[in-house]
Amino acid sequence: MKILYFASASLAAGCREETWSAGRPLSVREFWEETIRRHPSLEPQRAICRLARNQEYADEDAILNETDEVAILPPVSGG
Amino acid sequence: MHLEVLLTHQPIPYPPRAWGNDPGAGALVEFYGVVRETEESRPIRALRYEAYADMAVAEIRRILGELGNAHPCRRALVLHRLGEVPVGEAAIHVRVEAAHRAEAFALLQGFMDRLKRDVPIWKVAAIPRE
Repeated sequence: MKILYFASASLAAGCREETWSAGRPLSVREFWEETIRRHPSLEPQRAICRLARNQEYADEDAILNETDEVAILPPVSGG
Repeated sequence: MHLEVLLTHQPIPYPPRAWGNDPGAGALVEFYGVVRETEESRPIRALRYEAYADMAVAEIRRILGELGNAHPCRRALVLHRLGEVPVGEAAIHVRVEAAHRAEAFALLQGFMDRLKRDVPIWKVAAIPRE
C-alpha cells in the first residue's frame, strides 16, 4: 500500500510518501491505527483529515487494499 | 461542456490568452483569486500552494461536470498556480462561457465554493514580508 501525506499531515508524519504492507485489506479504522502506530504525531490529524483511495474520497466504511494508493488529506485551502 | 484544467508553477497570464471565439456564447465570465497582502492579519509577501495533483485535476473535472448538469455551459477553464505565489498575483483563474449569463455566473460561483471544500490543494505557507 502506498501512502501519501499532504500539507499539515506531511509535517506531522515527517514524510510525503511511504509504502508498507499489512498483508491483508484494511478497514479505515485499522488503517488509521497502523498509521498512528508508525507516526504517533499524526494522532491529532485523524479527526480533521479525509482519506482518498486511488484518488477518490473514501468514506468511513471503505476497504483499503494492498495495491491501493491512499492519501491523507487535511482540510483543503485552494483558490 | 468543453473543459480545460491545468495546474502550473508558472505565473497565471493577465490579460488572459485568447480563447477563440464561440459564436453560440452570449456570456463570458472570469474570476481571478489574487493573493492579498495579509494572511491572518500578518503582512506577507507570498503564499505557497501544494496539491495532490492528479486527484485535484480529477476532482475539478468531476465538480465542473456535476455543476454543468444544473447550469449548462459551453466551456470552462480552470488554471491553479502551485508553489510560491506573490502578493498581487493570481493563484487561480476560472473562465466560464455559456449561452446566457445566469448559468455562467452560477457555474463559476458554485465551482469556487466546491473547490474550497473538496479539491486537494492547500496553502501550506505564508511567507512573511520582512
